[in-house]
Amino acid sequence: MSAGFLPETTSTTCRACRKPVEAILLPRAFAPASPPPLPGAPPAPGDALCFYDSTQKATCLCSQCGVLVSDSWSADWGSRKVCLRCLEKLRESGRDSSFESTRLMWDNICLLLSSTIFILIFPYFAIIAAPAALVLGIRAWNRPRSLVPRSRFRLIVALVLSSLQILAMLVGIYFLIQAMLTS
Amino acid sequence: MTPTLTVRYPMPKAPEGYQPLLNRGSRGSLWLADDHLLVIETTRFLLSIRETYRRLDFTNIQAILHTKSQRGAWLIVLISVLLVISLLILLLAGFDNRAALFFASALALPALAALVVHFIKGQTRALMIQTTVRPWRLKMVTRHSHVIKVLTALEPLCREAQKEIPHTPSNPDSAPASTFKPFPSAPPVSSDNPPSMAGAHPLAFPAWLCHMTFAAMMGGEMIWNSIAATLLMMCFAAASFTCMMIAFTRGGGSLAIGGRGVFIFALSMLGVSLVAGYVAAMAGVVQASIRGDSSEFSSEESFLRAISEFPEGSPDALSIVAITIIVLTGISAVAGLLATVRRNKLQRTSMEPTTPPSS
Repeated sequence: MSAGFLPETTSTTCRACRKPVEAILLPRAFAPASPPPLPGAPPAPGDALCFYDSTQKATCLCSQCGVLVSDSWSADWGSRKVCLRCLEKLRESGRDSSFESTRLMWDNICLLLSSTIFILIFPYFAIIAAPAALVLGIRAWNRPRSLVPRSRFRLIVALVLSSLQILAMLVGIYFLIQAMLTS
Repeated sequence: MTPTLTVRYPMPKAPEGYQPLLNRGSRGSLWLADDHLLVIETTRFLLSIRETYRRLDFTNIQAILHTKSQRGAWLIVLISVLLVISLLILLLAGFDNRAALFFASALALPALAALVVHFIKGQTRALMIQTTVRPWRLKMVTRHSHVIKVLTALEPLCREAQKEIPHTPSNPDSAPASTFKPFPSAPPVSSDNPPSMAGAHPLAFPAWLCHMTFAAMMGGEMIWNSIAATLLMMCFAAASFTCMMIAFTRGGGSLAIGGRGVFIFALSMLGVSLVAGYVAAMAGVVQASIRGDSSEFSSEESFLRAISEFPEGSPDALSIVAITIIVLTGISAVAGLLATVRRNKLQRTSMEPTTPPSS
């Protein structure tokens, strides 16, 4: 091998299951590990101080809240620098989709609940599921759906199905009461 | 610039700032941005209920690994089981029985269609991305064509993003950096404590025992035929199923055979045993009802008598079912033993010292 040659692909065997594995190695695999920088010298008079730790020197600006923070209190998020508190708030609030790690699919949940009468063996579950689908559908109307943009079609279908089921149940109850009264 | 996501009408087909790489619908999808790969995984119960998002920076990806997966093999096993059940139905009820032909076709035709689709789609593969933090398996990549598509798009982007990273060691034959651990290490074992069934749950043996007992009682119904026997048999079947499900979900083993593979096989055999038994009963009932004997189902004994009343010369239904179940159980037992032996052999091999790369 010549100096600097980096094998692009390699075939080997997994140590656990002995199956052949194809691996494409990238330059990062051979880069030396870079440990986080140790805290530097205490800040000199006149130096900007970290907002969260006054014993450290501020090295960057949080792109979210604008405070000056040290490297220990900041994190790289793509091309942005955010302080750790903003990172936690952004992940919890979910308002910024680039910080979201998970999302509930309310439209699919409502669709499943409104379809229980068709997919479950016991249609009596619809007595609970249909109203639940209607309430959840109305509450989730303005909530964000999948990260991949899609319409409210599923939500509309769920609302229509659940409404029809509730209507059918009410009509059934009406006729049942009528029959009980006449008998 | 970090891509921002906005929702507007008419709906774009991709999030803003992303290019589609692989879209498997509710199975998940992959999207390419300028500096990272967005992995969308879903938690499914008929429909996707929750989506999980992972962003893998191109600069942090150390390696892309792919290997053949067992999905294709298990699919073929499942299809074969369905075809065997179809054949069983026809053997029990006779090839001239329309009802049996209908049930058998309802099982066999979709199974054959699935088999054809499987061969068309190609070999099943698994793909993992190794980053500086941990390896990530991309579950939406299941076929060889998907692997090719992902590699073709991802590798050039990663190399472009990492071209500034110093990676040339003074000795080009030296091993990768210590942070690079592409393959899962074998679990630590010692010669004093060799693994007996590494990765298997303690409920493995009880599950097998209940399964064997269930199968034996199923065959023993030729001799001891009563409601109590049937109920006891169902209890053993339920116990076996419960133990297997707990062991399957809590037992160890990731990609390696011998852990979950054993339980998947045993679970499928148990399911086949149950289905075969009841399908045979249904075939008998259908045939009996066609002959007008449905009025005799007042007790279990008369029900079993109706099942046994096949045309002259045809084999006894219960005998066929019992023998089939015993054979299938025997196959699953042998397969489980072989898998366990193989896993133990792999564990002992992994304990051997490896030769360090020559400098």
